[in-house]
Order: sequence, then C-alpha cells, then structure tokens
Amino acid sequence: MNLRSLLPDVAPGERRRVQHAAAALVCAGAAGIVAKTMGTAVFLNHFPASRLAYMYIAAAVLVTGTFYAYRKSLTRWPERRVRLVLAGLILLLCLGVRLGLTLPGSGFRIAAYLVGDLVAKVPLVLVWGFAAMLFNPREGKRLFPFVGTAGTLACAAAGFAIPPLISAFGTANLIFVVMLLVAGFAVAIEGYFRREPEASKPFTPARRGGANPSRAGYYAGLLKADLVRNLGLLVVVASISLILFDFVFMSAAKARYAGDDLAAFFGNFWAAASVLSVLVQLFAVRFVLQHGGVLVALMLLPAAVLMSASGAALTGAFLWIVAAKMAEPVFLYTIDNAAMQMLYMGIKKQTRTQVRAFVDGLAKPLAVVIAGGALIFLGPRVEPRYLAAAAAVLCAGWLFLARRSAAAYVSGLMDQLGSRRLDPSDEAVADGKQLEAQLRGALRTAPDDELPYLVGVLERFEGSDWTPEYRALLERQAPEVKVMALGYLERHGDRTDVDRVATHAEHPAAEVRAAAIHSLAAVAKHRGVDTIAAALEDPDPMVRGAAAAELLTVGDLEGLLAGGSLLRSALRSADPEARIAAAEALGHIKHVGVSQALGTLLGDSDERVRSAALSTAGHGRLPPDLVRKVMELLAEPRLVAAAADALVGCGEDAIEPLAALAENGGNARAIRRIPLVLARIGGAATVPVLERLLASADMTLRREAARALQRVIKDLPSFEPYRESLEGQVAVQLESLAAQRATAHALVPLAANEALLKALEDEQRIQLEGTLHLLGIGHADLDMDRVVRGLSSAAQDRRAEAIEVLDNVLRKGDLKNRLFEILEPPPEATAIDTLEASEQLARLLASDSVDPWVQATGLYCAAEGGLEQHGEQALALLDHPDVGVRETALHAVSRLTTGTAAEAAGRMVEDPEPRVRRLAERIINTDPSPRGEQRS
Amino acid sequence: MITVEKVLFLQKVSIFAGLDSQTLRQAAEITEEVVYPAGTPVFADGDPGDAVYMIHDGSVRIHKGDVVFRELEAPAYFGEMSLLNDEPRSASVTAVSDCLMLRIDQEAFRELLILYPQAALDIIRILSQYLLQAEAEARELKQKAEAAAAPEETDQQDVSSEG
Repeated sequence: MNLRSLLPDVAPGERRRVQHAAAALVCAGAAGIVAKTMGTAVFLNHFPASRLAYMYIAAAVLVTGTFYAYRKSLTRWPERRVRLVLAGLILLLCLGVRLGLTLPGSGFRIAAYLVGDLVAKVPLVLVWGFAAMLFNPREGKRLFPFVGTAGTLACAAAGFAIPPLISAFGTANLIFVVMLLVAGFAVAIEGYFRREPEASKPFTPARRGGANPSRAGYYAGLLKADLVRNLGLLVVVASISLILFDFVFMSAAKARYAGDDLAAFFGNFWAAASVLSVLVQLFAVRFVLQHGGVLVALMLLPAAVLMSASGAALTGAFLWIVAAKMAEPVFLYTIDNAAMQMLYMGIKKQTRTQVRAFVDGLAKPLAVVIAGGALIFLGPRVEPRYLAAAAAVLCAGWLFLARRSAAAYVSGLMDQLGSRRLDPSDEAVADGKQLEAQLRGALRTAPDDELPYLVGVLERFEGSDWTPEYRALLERQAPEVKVMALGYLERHGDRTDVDRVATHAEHPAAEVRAAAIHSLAAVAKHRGVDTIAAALEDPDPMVRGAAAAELLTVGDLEGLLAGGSLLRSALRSADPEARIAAAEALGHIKHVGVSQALGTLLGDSDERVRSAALSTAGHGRLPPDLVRKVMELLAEPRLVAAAADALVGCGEDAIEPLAALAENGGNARAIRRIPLVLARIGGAATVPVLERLLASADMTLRREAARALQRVIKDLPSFEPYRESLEGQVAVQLESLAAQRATAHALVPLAANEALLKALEDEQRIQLEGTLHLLGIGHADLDMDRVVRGLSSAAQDRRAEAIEVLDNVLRKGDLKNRLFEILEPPPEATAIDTLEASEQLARLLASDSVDPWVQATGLYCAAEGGLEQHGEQALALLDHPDVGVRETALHAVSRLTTGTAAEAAGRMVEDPEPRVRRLAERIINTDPSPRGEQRS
Repeated sequence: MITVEKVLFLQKVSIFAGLDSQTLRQAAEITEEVVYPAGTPVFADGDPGDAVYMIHDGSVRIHKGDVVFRELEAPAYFGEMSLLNDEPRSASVTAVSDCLMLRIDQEAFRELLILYPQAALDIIRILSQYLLQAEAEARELKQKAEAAAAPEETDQQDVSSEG
C-alpha cells in the first residue's frame, strides 16, 4: 500500500495552518496523556478508587471555573493574549504541584490529580478552537483527520515513553515533561499569529453597562438553536456514560495493580490505545467522514462502548472492561472528536466560541457533577458490572442524540448559507377569532397608508364577512381607500349599499367615480342604470369606459347600444388613454365575449395599453385563443409579470401552447420565462413539458426548467413516479458538465480567450445550478436556492458550507460522486498544447448545440489569436441566426481571410441588424481591419 | 467595437464586473459608442440625467464651474446616479483628452435591470459604498474642523484669562 495515499492533499495555502494546528495538537495531546497518567497514579497510590467520584466533581468544578474565567476574559482582552496567560498559569500550577509533592501530606496528591485533569482537557479544547478558526468545513473534513493523526501519534509516543521515564525519574517528575509540552503548545499557536498577524482579528472589547442580557438570557439565547440544544444534550449523555465506565475501569485497575506498576499500566494502556488510535486515524477516520458522513462518525464511539460495556456487564471480565475503556481513546480522540468539531461548523461563526465555552465549560462539567454524584452514592454500594450496564443503557440514548445532532448540523449549515427569506405564510397564519377581531379593530383605526397591508392579510380569511369594515372605510377621505372599499362592495355588497355607493359616482376623483359605477352595477343591478348611463358623459375616459362596460351587463336595449357604441369608439380611439380605459372596461363585461377586442389591445402599439389589457386578461378573462398573443409579451421587460399572471390565470389550457412555443423556438427571452409560468400553473401535466425543456440547447432555459420541475414536483403527492426519469436527467446533465469542463480546460492555451473562458464558465455555472435543482427534487427539505447561492459566493467559507450541506444530504452513489468531482475537482494534471486547443475550438464552432454566445466568443478568440485555420468556419457562421455570432463571424473573416473579407462584407450589408450592417460597411469602405478603421 | 469587445470592456468597469456573460452581452447591446474630442462638454450641471457613460479611451473632468471635483481615466464610469433617479445632473463633465465612451440610455438600462435583477443588486451595492464613503468623508471633515477649532478656543481662553 502506498503510504503517500494516506496523506491528504494539502494545498500550498493550507500548509502553514496545518503545520501549526498539528504542532499544537501534538503538544496538547501528549501533555494530556502524561499529566493524566501522573495525576491518576499519584492519587490512586494514596487513596481508594471510591474517592475518584469526588475527584470527578472537583475536577469538573476546576475545569468549569477555568472556562468561565476564560470566557469572561475574552470580553476584555484579545483571545490570543488570554490563551497565552492561561498557558502560563498552567505552567505555574504544574510547578507548584511538583514542589508540593515534595512535602509530607496528601493535599498535593489531590492537586496533582486535578492539574492532570486540567491539562488533559483545557489545552485540547483550545487547540480545536484554534483549528476551527483556521479551516472551513470542507478543509476541516479533509485535514482534521491528518491533524488528529499527528496528535494521536504524539499520544502513542508519550504513552510508550511513560514507563521508562517513570523508571528513570519517578512518577512525580513526569510533571516537568508536562510543562515542556504545554510550553510547546503555546509556542505553536502564538507562532502562527506572529507569522500571520492578519489572522488575528482586531479586538473590540465588550461594552460595559447598557442592556447586557442576564446569564440566563444569554444561555437561553444560545439554546434557541436546535443544534446547540442537541449538542449540549449529546455531550451530557456521552460524558456521563464515559465517566461511569472510567470509574469501573479505574476500580478494576486499582484492584489489580499498585505503586509504580499502576502508573506503568496506565502508561502502557495509553500507549496501546494510542497505537490503535493511529491505525483508526490513518485507515478509518477519513474514510468514515467522507463516506459515512458526520452521522456515522458520531455513532461509532457510542456503538463500540455499548457493545463492550454490555460484555463487561454480562461477564464482569477485566478484558471487557479494558476493551470498553479503550474504545474511548481509540474513537473519542479520533473519529468522534473530528465529527464533534464538524458539528460546531453548523453554528454561526459569531457564536461558535460561546457555544464551545457553553458545551465544554458548562454542559460537560454538569455531566461530571451528575455522574460524580451518582458514583458517590452508588460506587461503594453497587457492583462495577451493574455500573457497566447503566453505561450501556446511556449509550443507547447517546446513539439517538447523535442522530438528531447530525440532522441539526445540516440544518444549521443551511441557515448559514443565507438569512431566511420573509415567508408571509409564517406570519398571521392562525385563522383564529382573536386575530380576526384584532384585524377588525385595526381596519377601523389604522392610518390610510397601512390599509393596503391589512387588506392583504385579511384576504386570507376567506369565510369571514368584512362588509361593515369596508362600509366604514368608504367614509374615509383618501381616494385609494374609497376605491378599495368600493371594490369589496362590488363583490360582497347588497341593496343596502346602493345609496352610499351612488353618492360616490360624483366624487371629484375619476378612479373613485369609475369604481363607484362598477360597484353600483353590482349592488343595484338595473335600478342603477340611470346613474350609470349618465356617466357615459363623464369627462374622464376611465369613467366612461366603466359605464359602458356595466351597461352591457345590466342595461336595457338602449343602454346596451349606447355602451357598445362608446366602447367601440374607445377601442378605435387615437387617444391611448381612451384605449387604456377600454381595456380596463373589458375586464368588467360579464356576458359578452371580449376575445377579439382584448386581442386587439394586447397588440396595441402603446405599452400602457398592452399593460392594461394584460391586467384585464390576468383577472381570469383570458380566452384560450389569446394565449399565444400573451406569450409574446413575456419578452417585454415591463410586461413580463402581467403576462405571466395572465397565463397562469388561464390554467391548464395554457400548457400546450406554452410547450409548443418553447419547443418550436422564438424569442429566447420569452421562452426562458415559460418554465416559471408552468411552475405556477403546476400539476402533473406540466412535468413532461418541463422534462422536454431539460434537453434544450439553451442552458438558461434548462436551468429554469429544472428549477420549475423542483417546484412542481414538490407540490405533487409523490416524487417516486418521477425518480428514475429525473435521475437519468441528472446523469445526462452531469455528463454534459464534465464535457464542458474538459472543453474549457482544453481552450486555456489559446490567446485572447478571456471572453470565451468566461462564457464557458458561466455556462457551466448555469448548468450546475439546473442540475442541483434536479437533484433537489428528491429532497423536499433542502432549500436548493440557498445552496446554489452559497456555491456561487465569492466567500470560500460559504461555498464550503454549501458543499458540506450537499455532502450530508444527497444520497450516496454514482451521481453524488460525479457531482463532487465537479464541485471539488482534482487539480488538472495534463498539459494541453495549442494544436489540441485549436481542434477543440473547431469542434465548438462546428457544433449546433453550443450556446451562440460561446460561439461568438470562440470566433473572437480565433480572430484575435490569428488562428487562420478557422477562417472557413467563420465564413460558414455568417448565416447564423444569432446576431452576435454573425457580427463576430464577420469580424473574424476580416481578420483571418485575405481575399474573401470584402465579398463577405458585401453579403452582410443587407443584414437585418444595424450593427452588422455598420460593420460590413466599414469593412467595405475603408480598412479591412475594423479596429484600424476605428482608430482612423 | 463589436459586441464581444464591448463585453470585454464592460467586465473591467466595476459597476458591471460582477455580471455574467449573458447579462454583459445584453448590457453591451444597449450601449452606444460616442466620441468626445478634448475640451468638449459631455453634459452640464443641471442637464437632465438621462444616461450613464463608460470611458473606454481618454479622460474626463468632473467639475462645477471652475471647481474641479475629480478626473476620471479609462476604464471608468460616471452619471450612474441618473439611472435610479430623475434628478438633473449635479455637476458638469468635460472631456480632458479625446474620449471614446459607451453610453447607456436611462430607459434601456432600467429595462436591463428589470430583466437581470443581479445587475440591480450590483448597482445598489455600489451606491451603498458611495454612501459609506460619503459618510466617512463627512466624519473626517468634521473631525478636521473640530481639530482646527480646538486650538482657537484654547487660544481664546488663554487670551481671556490673560485679559
């Protein structure tokens, strides 16, 4: 086996960070092993094992106090300085303990245990905090196992060194080794910041006074995050299980060994455990993290302890006890620790340090206190095998919490990818009476400018009658409020409203008069005809239009004729205002076909008239024969939204015409809007149409189709009927993406390829987005838009988080592997020569399925690079349907061919596009080089 | 310039630098090449703000009467505020050397923003940078003014105490 393959790919920019993180962990890990062995041996050689229960609690108090002081210090001083001071204090404590052990009495033996525990815990936490600051989640997943291996190797070396060191210097003098290692740990971290001063964030002390939250409020705030809650519980349960078993192990060891033999046993135990850890680190950690993900990595330790603790509980054998205890260093400091560090990545960066301090400084010690308290009571009374059984039961809970934490981790990463968008369905969803009563009150008292919002909210209360409130609103002065109220009364009013509505037919504001006419026709029917007919003489075309439309509905024969006549003249008027009024009026005609008139207005030369006609069409008045006409308006930037609304209002009747337009070609801008319209129409009938669009040559259309499919299928009862076909589509898209990547790579050696490479890069991005949306169809909980935004981000951390989400959510298999080859490609090793690049360019220019803009930039690359072999291809592309291709082809012909440029330009002076004609004229009239002509 | 060349140029102008190829192509297609010989006014203070200009070659001076605010050299842009509001120009711009520029009409640009919201976001980002910059400059000016006033006050106190 090639040992080099075990080493991770460390990029040059990562090397220094890896070196310092590994050095710090080597020192911290080795210091912990030596200190723990020294402390435990010194203590157990003087006290019975049952006293350990008290020591667990005392150590927890000491560690908690240390972390508390650490966290408080961070609000006043920079982290870098606090870390150094802490290391210095540990060194002083070690020195004090060593001096104390020379004195008679047992007090300093207790201190030795406590310092041993402190050294085993604090530096390790600080090192992982340091490492998490240096690496993003993707780097962490790749490099933490390597950094961890260095630490574990150091632990193994320290374990093997302990017995000879004890023989040579005695157990108590091991503390000098600890001091050396702690100093090394501080130097490794500080050295990094000396070399990379910008990595040390500028420190801003926390403001004193003001509205600082209470400690309870502070923790309550942290615990609002699902991941923090799960993480805290996981740590508590895991710690209790491990302490229970530590007690069982220590008691069994004390029963078998004494004096320096006990220290030597611990040294050998740690050395053996470290060797196993190294093997796990080298052969398992990377594999487990990359193939099993965070979940499997989190479950290994509890599963191993569960099995061996069950064995110990059933048999009581020392071997099972040692095996169960050995699972802790073998898995805890390797796979489990790496996975736990990954969990922190799911927490927002701003609160990560606080959460770490909360978990390590509060949750863990709390668990120790619980376990210690239980052991004080149970230790002397219960057989160790029963304690092992209790530990096994707790391990089952630990497994459950590991599963929940892994899910919360993915969700946390998702949250970091972007702030949550405002979802109106999240607020005021309750349709309870309380909210309704509040709304009724608010409608009466709210200022005019807040009413549109309130009206939007109350539209959700479909079954409620709001007539009294709207009658009150009609008394307000603001015309827009009156129009709103009249609109409601048109739909829900009754005969009692006739008078209050009729008085508004003479309101000074034309929009109020028009609304009053519509409302009057609805509530008064034929009894309002006189008032309505009088409005035919109104000076405002909108009011006249309203009157004409309503006379066609409620009028007698005379009214019908008058209304029809006025409407016809408005439709033919040269005044756009009259035509706009006619368009609005058509929306109110109920019993007469308006298809022809609406069709005319949809093709009006004035954009405002087309907009008004679309608005009418969007209110459920679009006859199927007008679908094509409305589809054409999807190309107009200012009308696209109204056109889409109108088509959506047409429902399933619009699907086939939309499909035909998309497949037969036409205005690309309009066609690219079709998937979104289909998504809004929804239903199973849109799926095959959207699937066909996935095969389009237009990348943007493909992406939009994929996005629409995701939206449509999410609302269907089941994804299963579409799984196979969609997975096939994803495979095709991934293949195409890989080919695009290869093409772009092959074109790198060409000169003047800047525009071409950007065009290809953008194409790849668009296609990748489409592919991700297809993949997202099977994962209803995954907000793929957010993942896509993360992947497009310039910030490496956000990109890494997005990839990490995908890594945890997507199902294992070929598709995922191929996707990750694209997201995290290996470095391109093969060099491409210019000849091969030119061949690739020739293929690209000859292809029918390449985006026109890519071909245009390819032609430009050939022209500016002087690649004369592409001159013939440029000539062939002069007839291309895309104007950009024709223009660049003509430019290329003028650069690459000598005899045919003027002749080609002669052909192009008749081009429909002015810019192509201008370029052709320049080539004919002056210099064959258009650039030379510009300069002249 | 052909469209590809315009795109390559627009990529270098910060207001467009973050856009993708398709959006850049659309932007390039709505540009118009304009030439201003040295000394020619591009627009004057108070003129209607109806277009944004990108300098491809040459340099311009932004001024109000004789007070010169700054000079811009290619690649740069000016007049972008007119894209979002309909206020008249707040300063004059004159070509310092012979200039080749790309001009984008206000209406055409607004349509581009409707079609490509990413372009709108980039404009917002740039305008907010202006605001931050203006705020920082205002703060700096205030500090300078306070610093300049402080010795005077001290002097006055000294004088009054002496008096």
